[in-house]
Amino acid sequence: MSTTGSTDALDQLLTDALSPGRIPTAAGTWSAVERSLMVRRQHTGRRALLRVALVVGVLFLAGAATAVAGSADVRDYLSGRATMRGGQIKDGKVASLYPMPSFHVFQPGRLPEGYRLVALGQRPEPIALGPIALPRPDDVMALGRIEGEDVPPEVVQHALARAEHHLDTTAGSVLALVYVAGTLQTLELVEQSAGNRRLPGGSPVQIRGIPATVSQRDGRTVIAWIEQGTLVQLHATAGQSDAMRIAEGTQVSALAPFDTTVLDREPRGANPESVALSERVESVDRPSVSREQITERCGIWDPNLYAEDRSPTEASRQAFCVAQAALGRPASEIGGWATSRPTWGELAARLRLDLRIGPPSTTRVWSVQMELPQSRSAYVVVLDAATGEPYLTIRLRPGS
Amino acid sequence: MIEEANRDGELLSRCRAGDQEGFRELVEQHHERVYRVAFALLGNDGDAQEVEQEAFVKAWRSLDGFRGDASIGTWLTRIAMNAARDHLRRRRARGVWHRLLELRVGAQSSDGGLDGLAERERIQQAVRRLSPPLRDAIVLRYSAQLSTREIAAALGCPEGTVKSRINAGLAKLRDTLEAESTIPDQPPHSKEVRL
Repeated sequence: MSTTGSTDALDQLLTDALSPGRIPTAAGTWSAVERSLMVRRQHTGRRALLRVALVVGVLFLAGAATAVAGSADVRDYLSGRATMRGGQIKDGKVASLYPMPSFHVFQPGRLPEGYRLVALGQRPEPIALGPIALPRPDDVMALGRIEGEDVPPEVVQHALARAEHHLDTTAGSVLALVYVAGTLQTLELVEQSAGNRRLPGGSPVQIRGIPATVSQRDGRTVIAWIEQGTLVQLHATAGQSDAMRIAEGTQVSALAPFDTTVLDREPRGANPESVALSERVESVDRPSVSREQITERCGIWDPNLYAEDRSPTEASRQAFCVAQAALGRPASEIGGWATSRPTWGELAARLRLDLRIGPPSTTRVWSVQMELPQSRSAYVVVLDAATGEPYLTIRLRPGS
Repeated sequence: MIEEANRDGELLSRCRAGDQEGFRELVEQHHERVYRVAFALLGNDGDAQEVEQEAFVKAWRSLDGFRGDASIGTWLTRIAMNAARDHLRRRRARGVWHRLLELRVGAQSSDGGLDGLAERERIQQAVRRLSPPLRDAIVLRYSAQLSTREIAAALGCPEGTVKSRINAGLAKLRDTLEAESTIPDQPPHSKEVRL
């Protein structure tokens, strides 16, 4: 074979071998890029936490190493705890919150028949770091199970949407409590420090002898008043007279300090209504989902998200998305979910699984637990924290 | 050329102003080139699509850093090459799951244009074994189908260097592939390499 003679053949061979069999369409490429841009935008946006707690009880998030710093705020920031949330809900009421709001929190003294607290949104005060104030991420969470019963996913989603709506439309630090009866009847308390704020416009009324306004917004009755330094706005799908009664029945709640050490621990004990996870393990499978399917649904796995945002929260959302894809069940079936970020060794010990079925024991993984109320089942999906690779889907028996 | 530069400039201005529609036009204009570069360096459709997407996201995020000393196409080519290299580094840590996936995708992408998957894979392997400077030049020429001038711009080297790298790469590939009898014997006529 002559050198010059083979050049043409080599040209052709290389062109054939190195050329892709097909080129993705421009529309398909743009669709994927646009989706990814949207995911990134969410990552960098101010909404940084959306989660659905599995049960009433201690609300938790992943732990963080303790940093050494002079002030508590700086220490919180450096340790990542500044972006963490905690709290406790007892008997349908918020009993404690972390971070603690800077204003008095009002809650209904007695809820109207059928209503229950389903979602909570909070934008805490920013952290003062010298001359600058670092905003903490917003937090929106909902309860997927209440008193041993699953909350229908559509109710959870509706309540989450309402809590997010209030955070989106309210400037400054704010707390939004969303109570739901049936599927669409809501009672929402939106509270913030009164500061220099004025009452919104509306017809003048009185709540407990305090000047208030009442108006109609988005098909809801809105009653607003300022009491003990808190601007309280009650949004109710109920009529004015019922809404007035509910407003009259609100009370200042003395929130208990939240034990933040729970944020540094594994979330065991965070689910007082369930049996130990290890006793719920029913079967273990390997996911058959492809990376293309995962990318299509969730965008590119970003292993640095956890560190970049100094928050486990958006990273949790990313892990949840991949876990959903790995599970291959429609989102509408998932009633509640929670994540943690242990090593595989730690998780295998908690679940009493054979270490050999997963990655090396020191591999950092995401554990995404999802409850599927309709099928009375639950799953834990184990993902590699660095790559997003789904290792295992673990089917659980009902927890309560 | 001037028209292209003007069009690039206008698109860039729109993109920098946050006009996502402008960025969509940019993606549509350059997606084939970016995909080809990614495919050539990674060897399978799944990874190439992922890197293509990643490259455009990186481009969107770094629009302000584009100084305009090269065409958008060249700039995107560089981004795609860097993204592909990052991807390769990450891939090494992914283990068996990825390798299995790659094999499956590779099998699906076999189009029958060559004798089969094994032959195609052997040629790709031979290209990947080239030193990075030679491999990049070959890949940009035969997969991304860039001109010598465009390759020079993407690699940041003179056109003469590109030509010599391609010739050197071809010589090495010829040695490797001849030993495996991949190149057909005695082509019907002689032809110079077009560079």
